[in-house]
Amino acid sequence: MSNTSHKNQKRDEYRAAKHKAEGEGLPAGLPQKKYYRQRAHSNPFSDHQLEYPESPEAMDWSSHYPMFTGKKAERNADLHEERKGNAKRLDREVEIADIGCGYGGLLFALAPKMPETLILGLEIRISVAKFVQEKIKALRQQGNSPRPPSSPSKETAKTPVADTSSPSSSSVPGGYQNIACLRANTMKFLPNFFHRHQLRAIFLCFPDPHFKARKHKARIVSSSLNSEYAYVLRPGGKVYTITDVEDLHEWMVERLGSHPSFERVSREEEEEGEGQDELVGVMRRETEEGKKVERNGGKKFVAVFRRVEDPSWPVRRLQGKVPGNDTALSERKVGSESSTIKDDGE
Amino acid sequence: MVFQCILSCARDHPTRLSSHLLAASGPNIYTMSWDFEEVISVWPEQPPSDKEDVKGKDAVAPPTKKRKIANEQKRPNVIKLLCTRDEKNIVAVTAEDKCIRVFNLKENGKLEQLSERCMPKRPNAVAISPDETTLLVGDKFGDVYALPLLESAEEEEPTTQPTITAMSDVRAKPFKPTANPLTVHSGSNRKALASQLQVKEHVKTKEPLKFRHELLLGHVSMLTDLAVMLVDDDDGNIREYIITADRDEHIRISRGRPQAHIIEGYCLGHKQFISKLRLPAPNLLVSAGGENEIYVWDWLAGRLLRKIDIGPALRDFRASWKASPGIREGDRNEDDQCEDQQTAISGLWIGLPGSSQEKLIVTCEGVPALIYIQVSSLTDYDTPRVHTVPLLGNVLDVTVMSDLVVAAIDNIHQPWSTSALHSPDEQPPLLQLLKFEQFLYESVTEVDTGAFRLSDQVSSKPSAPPDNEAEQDVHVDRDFWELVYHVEKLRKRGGMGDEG
Repeated sequence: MSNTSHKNQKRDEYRAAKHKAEGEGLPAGLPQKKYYRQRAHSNPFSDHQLEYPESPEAMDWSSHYPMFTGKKAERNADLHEERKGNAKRLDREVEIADIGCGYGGLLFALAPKMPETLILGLEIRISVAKFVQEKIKALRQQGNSPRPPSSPSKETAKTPVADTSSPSSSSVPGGYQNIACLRANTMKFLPNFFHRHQLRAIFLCFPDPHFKARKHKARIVSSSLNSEYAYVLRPGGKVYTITDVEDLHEWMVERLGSHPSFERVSREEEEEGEGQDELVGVMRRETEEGKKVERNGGKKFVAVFRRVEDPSWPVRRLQGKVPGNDTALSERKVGSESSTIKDDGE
Repeated sequence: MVFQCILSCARDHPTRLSSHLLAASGPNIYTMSWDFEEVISVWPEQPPSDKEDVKGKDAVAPPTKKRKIANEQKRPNVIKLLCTRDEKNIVAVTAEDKCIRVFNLKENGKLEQLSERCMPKRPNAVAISPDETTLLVGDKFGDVYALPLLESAEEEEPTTQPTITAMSDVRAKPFKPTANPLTVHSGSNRKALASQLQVKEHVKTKEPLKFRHELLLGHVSMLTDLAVMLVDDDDGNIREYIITADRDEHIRISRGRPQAHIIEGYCLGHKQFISKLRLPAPNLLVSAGGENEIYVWDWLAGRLLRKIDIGPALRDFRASWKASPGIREGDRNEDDQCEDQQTAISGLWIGLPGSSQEKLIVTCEGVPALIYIQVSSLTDYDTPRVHTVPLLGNVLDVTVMSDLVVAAIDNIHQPWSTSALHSPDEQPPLLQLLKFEQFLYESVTEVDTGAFRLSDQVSSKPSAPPDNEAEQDVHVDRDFWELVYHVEKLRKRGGMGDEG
C-alpha cells in the first residue's frame, strides 16, 4: 500500500517530536491514538519479539508502579528472602489484569476507583500497548508536573492543569500510579507474570472473535487456557467477559461455565446497580471498544465467572493400603468434582 | 539408512537376552535380536515384489539408501517408539499421518498392529500412564489428550464414559455466520459477511475423531515432552501428576486424571525451548533443550535446584576430537565459530536404571558423544562431573537396557556436522553398543574415556552398492533431514515481526 509508508513517516515524525519534547523537559501531552493504530488481529501462536520475565519472581515491577516501591516493600523483600532476582520490590502485587486491554479505556476508568489496587493491562499489539504506556505517563505527569513546592505528596497534588478537558491525575485519586500496561502474549506467557492465586480479577473485554472455526483455538477463552486463568486467580476471584459477538459470548459461557474451576455468577450480579459488583458497570460502560459498540447501536453481552476452590485430590492408594480392594491402584472419585475440559477442536 | 528411533524391549528384564531391539528407519520398524545377528521381523511387512531380501545375510541394513531415504512410497516416518513395562505392547508414532499405532509384540518378534489412531495434530510427546491403561499424547499445538492404550479397555470401564469427550455427534447444524452487520466494520469484512450469507450449504471440512479421546490440558505452544509421575503424599495416598514441557520455556505441573485441568505449578527458568524431561527419582526432574545447561528441579515445589553446564565438557571433548590423529583434514577444518554456540540437547536417559550407579545420559544434536552424569551427584553439594564418551558418529537416538546402552549413529553426516556428508567410501556403524563396566568406573577420570566401553558395533553394510544418484537424493531430502535433526529447529529465530 502506498499510504503505508506515508503513514509510517507521519508516525516517525510524531514520535521524534514527542521524544524531543520530553528531552526538553516539557510535560508529555496525551498521545494521539491515530499514530498508534494497529490492525485488530494478532497471531497468538507466532514468535513475536516479546519481552517477558522468566518467572514472576524475576519480574521487575518497580518501573511500572514507581509509587508503590517503598520501605514497606523493602521489608517484605527481606521477609521473602528466597525470592530470586534483585528487582526492587513493590509493597503489593498486581491484583487485576485486563487481558487484551486495547487502548486502555477500562484501565483509565478503574484507576481512580481503586487507587490502592495495582491494575495491569496486557496487550499483544505493540503500538497499542505503547499508546497506553504513553497515556499513563502523560496522565501521571499532568498530575505531578506543575507542582507547587509546598506539596510534597504526589498523590494529593491538586494543581490545576491547563488541559482540563481530559482526565488528569491531579483530580483523580491515585493519580494513575496504580495502572500499567505491558506488551505481552498472555496466551503463552501468563504464568511468567503472575504466580498461583495472585489475581482477584481478570477482564476479557471484546476479545478478537476469530470467526472462522479453524481459528477458534486462537480465541482468548478456551478450555485449556481457562486452566491457566484458574491458576493465576485466587479462589473467589472472577473472570469478567464482555463482547458484542453473540456467538463468542456463547462460546465463552460454554467454555468457562463448563470448566470445573469456574462457575457463572447469578444474572443479577452481571447487571449494574446498587449493591452489585462495581467492576461490571465499569466494564459495561468504559472500554474503548464498548463505547464504539454503543455508538454503532450494537449489543453487549456480559458474563462473569467465579473461580471455585480446587477439589481435594482423588483418594488413590497403593495396593494393600486399601482394605478390601485387590486392584493395583484403586481410584475413587471425590464428589462430583472430577470432570474433564471441553475439546475446542470440534 | 539410519535408525532415527530405537527401543530396547527388555528394560525391566535384563536377564532376558531373547528380548528385542526395535529400530525404526524411515517408515519401517525392524525387530532385531539383542545379539544383532539378525533382523527378525520388519513392519510393515515388505511386499514380496521387493527386490531386497530383507531377511538375508545383510539384514541389518536391508534396504538401500535410495529406497529408504528418497521415501518413494511416501509412507509416514516413525518418530517415536515406546513400550509397556511388560513389553507386550509397542506404541509407534508416525509423523506425516499424525498417527498413533499400538502393536502387540509377539514372542517371535513380529509386530501385530492392534490399532491406528490419527490425531488432529502431530503428536510430539507420548507417555504411557503408570497404570498402563492410557496413552497421553501431546501435540504440536500444545494439547494433551488421553487415549485408552487398548481400545478394548473402553468396554471394561463404562463408568468413565461421562468424563470422556467421545466422538462428538455430527449434527448437521445449518450454517449461520457468527458475525453480523453490527460486529464487522470495515468494507471488506462487510463484503465477506454478505458472501457468507449467500452460501447456503456449509461443508464441514473436519471429521471428528472416531475414537475415544479426552482433552486433558493444553499449552499455547508446541508441546515437546511430557511425563506422568506418581508421588506419595505422606498420608499413604498416591497423587498422579502430569508434567508437560513446551517450546516457550515452560514446564507445567498439572494434576493427573481426572483433575488434569488443575495446574499445580510451573518450573520456570529455561531461557530456550525445552526438548526433554526426565525423572531420575519421583521428586527429581531434569529438563534440557536449547541451552548448554541441564536444569535440575524440585518440581513439586517448582524450585530450581541447580543448572549443570555441559558446555565445558563438550568443548574439551571437541578439542580432543580434533586433536586425535585419525581425524581427517575435512573434519579439522570444520567451522570453529561455534565456540560459544548453544547446543540442542536432544535426549535424556537413565543408564544403569535401578542401580546405585545410575547415570543421566545426555545426547546433543550433531554431537558424536554420549554425555553422562552420575544421578546421585545431581543433588550433591559439589558440582557434578560431566563425562563424555566418543561415538563413531552423531548420535540420533539411545536406548538403555540395564548396563548396556545402544546408540543409533548417523552414518550419513560427518561427526559434529548436520550438513557435511561422509564420503561414499566411509561407512560408520548404524548402532553402537556400549557397556558399563563396574570396575572401570573408578578409573573414569579423563573426560574422553568413558566408563562405557565400546563392546560391539553393528556396522552397516549396504546390501547393494548405492548408486550415486540415490546418494545425491540424500543431500536434498529435507523430510529426511528433519526426521533426524529436528531439535535445533525448535529454536526461535528472533521474532516473526510485530504485525503478525
